[in-house]
Amino acid sequence: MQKNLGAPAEAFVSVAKMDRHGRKRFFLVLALLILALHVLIYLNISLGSVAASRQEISEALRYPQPSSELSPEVTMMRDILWKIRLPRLVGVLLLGGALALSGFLMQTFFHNPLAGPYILGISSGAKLFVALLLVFLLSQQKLRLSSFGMILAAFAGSMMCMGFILLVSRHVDNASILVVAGVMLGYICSAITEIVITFADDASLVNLHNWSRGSFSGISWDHIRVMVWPILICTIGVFFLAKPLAAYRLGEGYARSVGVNLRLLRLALVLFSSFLSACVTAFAGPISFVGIAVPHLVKASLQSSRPLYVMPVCFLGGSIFCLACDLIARTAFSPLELSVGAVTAIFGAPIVIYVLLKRGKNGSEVR
Amino acid sequence: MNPANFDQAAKSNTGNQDYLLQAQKLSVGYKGVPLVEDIQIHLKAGHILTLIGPNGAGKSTLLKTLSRQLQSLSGCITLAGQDIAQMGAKAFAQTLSVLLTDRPRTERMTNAELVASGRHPYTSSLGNLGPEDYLAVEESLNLLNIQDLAKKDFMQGSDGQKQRVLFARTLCQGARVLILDEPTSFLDIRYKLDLLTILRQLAREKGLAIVMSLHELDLAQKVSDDLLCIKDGHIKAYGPADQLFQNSFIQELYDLPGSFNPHFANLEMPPTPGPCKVFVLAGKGRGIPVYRRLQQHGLAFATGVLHENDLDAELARQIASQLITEKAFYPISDASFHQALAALDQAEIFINALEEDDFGPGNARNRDLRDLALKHCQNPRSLRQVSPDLSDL
Amino acid sequence: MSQKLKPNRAIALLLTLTLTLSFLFTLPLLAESLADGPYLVAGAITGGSGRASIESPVQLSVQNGQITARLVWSSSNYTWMEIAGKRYEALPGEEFSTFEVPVSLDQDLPFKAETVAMSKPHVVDYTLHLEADTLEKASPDAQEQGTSRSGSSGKQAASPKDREDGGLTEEALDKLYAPASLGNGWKAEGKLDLTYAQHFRVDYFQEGYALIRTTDGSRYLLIPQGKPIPDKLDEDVQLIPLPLQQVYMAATGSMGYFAALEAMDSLGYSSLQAQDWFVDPARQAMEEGSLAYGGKYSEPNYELLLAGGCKLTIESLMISHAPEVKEKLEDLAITVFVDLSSQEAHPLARTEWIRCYGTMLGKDQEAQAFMDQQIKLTQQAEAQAAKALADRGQEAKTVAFFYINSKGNAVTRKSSDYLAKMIELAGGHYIFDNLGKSSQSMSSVNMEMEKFYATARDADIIIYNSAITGELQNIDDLLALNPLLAEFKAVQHGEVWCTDRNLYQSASQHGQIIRELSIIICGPDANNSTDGDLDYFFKLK
Repeated sequence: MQKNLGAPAEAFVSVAKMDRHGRKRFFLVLALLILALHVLIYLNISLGSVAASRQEISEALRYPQPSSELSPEVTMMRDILWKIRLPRLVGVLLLGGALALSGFLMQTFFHNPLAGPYILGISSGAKLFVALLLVFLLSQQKLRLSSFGMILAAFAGSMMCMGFILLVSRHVDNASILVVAGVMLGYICSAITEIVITFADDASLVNLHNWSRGSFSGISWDHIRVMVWPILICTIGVFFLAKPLAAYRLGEGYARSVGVNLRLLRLALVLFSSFLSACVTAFAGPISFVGIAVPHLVKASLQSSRPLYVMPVCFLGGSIFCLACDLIARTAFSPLELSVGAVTAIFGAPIVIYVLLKRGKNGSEVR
Repeated sequence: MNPANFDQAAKSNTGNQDYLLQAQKLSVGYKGVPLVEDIQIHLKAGHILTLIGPNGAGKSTLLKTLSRQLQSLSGCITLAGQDIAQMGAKAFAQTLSVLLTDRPRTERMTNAELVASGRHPYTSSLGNLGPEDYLAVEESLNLLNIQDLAKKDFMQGSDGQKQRVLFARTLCQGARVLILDEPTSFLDIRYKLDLLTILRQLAREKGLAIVMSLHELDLAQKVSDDLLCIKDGHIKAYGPADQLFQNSFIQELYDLPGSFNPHFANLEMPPTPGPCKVFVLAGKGRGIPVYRRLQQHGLAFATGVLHENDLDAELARQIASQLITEKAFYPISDASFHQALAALDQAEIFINALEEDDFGPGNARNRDLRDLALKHCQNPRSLRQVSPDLSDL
Repeated sequence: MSQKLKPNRAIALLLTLTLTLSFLFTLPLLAESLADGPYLVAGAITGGSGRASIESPVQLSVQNGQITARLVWSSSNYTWMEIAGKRYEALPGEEFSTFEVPVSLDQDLPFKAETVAMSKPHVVDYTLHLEADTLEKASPDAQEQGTSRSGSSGKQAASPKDREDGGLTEEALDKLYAPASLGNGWKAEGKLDLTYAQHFRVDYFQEGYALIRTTDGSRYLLIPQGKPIPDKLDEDVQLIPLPLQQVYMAATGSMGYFAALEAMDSLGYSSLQAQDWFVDPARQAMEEGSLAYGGKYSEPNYELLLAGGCKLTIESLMISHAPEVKEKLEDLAITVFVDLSSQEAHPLARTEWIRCYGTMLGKDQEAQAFMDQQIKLTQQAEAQAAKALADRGQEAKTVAFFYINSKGNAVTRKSSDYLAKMIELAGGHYIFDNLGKSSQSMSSVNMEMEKFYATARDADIIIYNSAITGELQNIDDLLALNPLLAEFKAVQHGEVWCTDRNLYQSASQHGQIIRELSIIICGPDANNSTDGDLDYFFKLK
């Protein structure tokens, strides 16, 4: 069976054609998502506890600063829009994207479809530090706490967990041991939190419970100013990991064989993912299912797992998913506000179940 | 080096006397504990080196060390004259590619995409392929004859298909040295041959140096230039394949319970122990199916008189309890005739595998043997005849 | 890329982590080590009939880490004090019974004292509380001052300020307040005279402006209707424009004040749903629709508040745990008034906060009248208690106040809780007199069943708090919760009472509650009110 190794084969553009097809699909999905984003932004601006007409809203949107030119109704709408709805919208956009991206990174890293942003125990560490803050420092009533204090505490807790995981990762060859380490760390932090809670007064208990439900309420422009930089920097940084991540899909052995620096990749993945999920937990508390469900949806719509395509679509997808869930959470039973984590779970869990069932049915992966 | 097609590579290698891959005093193992020590390898371009040895001897470990998947414990490995410990990741990946025993679990990845991932050392910083890359991918697909599978999802293929796709990927990496860990696993006999044929071609026409491990000794014998045998933490032998393929060597290397035929590189199970109660009259290859059946039934047998160069004698040498031979090209002598008689006396069952046409001047006395046996068979208690298909056993 | 394991480093980090966490744990438990010298600390005693007290601040002297307190009683009838089995005699030559005893700052000290006030000598159980937060060094001549003070203070009627168990000293209070100035040079022209409340102060300025200050350092300036906002105010002075309207009431304990002042129409939003209000006017207003649900205090509906024109929120201390909500509200130009009435030690001090809201609502007279009424009710109760004790020559009746939660534990109030104090004022003795450090902010204590049983079974009176767990119709419902209760003395004597009112929401009615408690404890009074006329309690039969 002599093969002619010199000349290229006949349909030699077929692989290139497939790539082009994949790229076209990527742009199509991107365009659709951007459209969906516009729709959701419109809905989030227009809907809320206080009804307003389209004119009032569009007029109010033109005045970022208070102005005496506006009539009282529009002034009120202006305040509501610029001080309540818009900062919350931008916050949800940023944080939703961060969550989805972080989830994708963890799923790729651990080759585990059920991995999420909190698989390394991040949210448990954040909750522990918030509990410590509430119970010990506040109860002494010597400290006046600003919201940034709690944000910092949550962030510090997340970083502590991340530091621990990084330390463990230095000594193990197999990445899946990190999952175990993360889960165990989560349990340890939860256990210590339980102990701390015994010393808690009713106020701290209630507030800790409220915090751990996760909520986008109360995000202000100050918060946005702080969170936008780390999230953007991490997102861009992650983008540069697209090529090594693509190689990583074949496993560590093959990734190593094409020249990927596994140690650096592992470090970068843990760092970026933890940072992103720490940001979200710090500003909005732990919000589940976004990081797990959205990457699956994205890969199904792109019919590809190529990180270069999946990552930006994931960010967008996460933003849209959270915008939709937040909208439902705040308007479904107004003036009562549902916990946004509950809404994401209601929509996210069936998605995950469906994806896994489809995988199981075919014995392995599905196109 | 960034070869767009393989011809350039071939040209640069002809007449090059340097070793493409070299290992000196190499010691490999895990976590500081050496598994195999004092390894020497010198591999020229265009040569195929096969590692053989029992399971757990360290073949995979050695291959992983050579391909920088594992850190060597001591010693030095050079690739095209450079110490691999000093080489940059990209340069190394462009020079050496590897086929592992890992079975990747991918998500929504087509076979074409997987093969294309081999071009990683050459693609842009975002991972996009250029025209040269597409060319290389196409070539690999065609070489392995998997163009039709290109659009399909990798995970949906059979194990054999996956193996060929992974091999295609290894090829399109454009490397001068290939390290293959059990490349024939999961492949049926046709694709095994296919792969080895491709390897031989690549070595010959492109000047690639190939190191691989094989379990199939017959294939190793057919395809290898050099052989490296590992057992008990040492190199038992390293040298040209044809010199090393001897029965006793292989038997010792693998602690074979049976025997090894170096001519055909095939294995036979050992002869059934115990006294021989069966005598088979055979020749010209007629005896081979009978021997096999008897061995499956667990019956020890004697056979003769066969000439040394008879086809049956090749097999009987390995699995018969007693073989009575005659020198090649000589008619059956008295000595061998009487030997056969003695064996016949011992037997309780007589099987005649020869037909009327199978007798000639060379084995004329076998006809006498047959007649004698048949006469004894009139008294079933002393000797019983059984047909060659053992149906009336 | 060394494959060698470095377990030591992992262990080191783990240890550091554990140590850091334990350190954080023990922060509140770190005791200060004191230098030798004289000190002053706020202190009080509980127990007995509740009529005796000690002079506060208490003089301490520290030598070699050993703290000795000089306790000066309000009467001269005490002969000895017994602490941990050791007896200390009264110092001779002192006008009032004075003792020098060893004390420690981080625990309450139970002791016995003998009084010869009645016909025959009597040993009474008390507990000494020292407020460690108020510890301060005394100058040497402060000791002189202290002695002279004890000599000059009259002993006929202890003024209300001396009766504050666990209250703060003037010096400590002054430190907590911001100065009574606005930053623009205006001078205060007068102030509100308060009898009991310590945690708010009102200063009056020109043209009707008034400044309310609270002990968290906040300053709130009331802007009279139609008057402009003064120039050059200090940055941290918060503005409350009058009249109050569309107020968001997120402090459930403060609704009662508005109800008592009939000022429900000033409120626009509440942080509880209608069915969760015990304050009837609030529930009615919500059912009628004049009071809307504005979202929980931790998650207010900002849009609603903003659209409704809310300019003031009244929050409780819970808001300190949700600082982002406070910040958001202030961001939306809604002033957040943090009600500190729960910090008050004396039950009537909490009630006196009605005068703070009276000032805000322009209903000073009504507030004062209401307060006077509550004081009158309390004095009636005290008088009756004194009479009952004198008549019967007994010790005060012991009262147990608790409820059984879903896990079967008994949940009671701390000994320094205002409820315990109300019981004391009403002539009873709260039987759990050694519960909980007063410096912790927990109000309830989960008691372990054995301890509860051992202490409470001998209580003369049981008051069961069914507001939390649900109604009890009769004694059998109570016994169904825990059959052991049948052994309790109070059950066997038929002295079981129940309250289904949310006492937390009833701060404005403390006088009334004390009055009713005295009826329960000491029996029907001069007006011959009987058990059946009570608003807050009913007997379980």
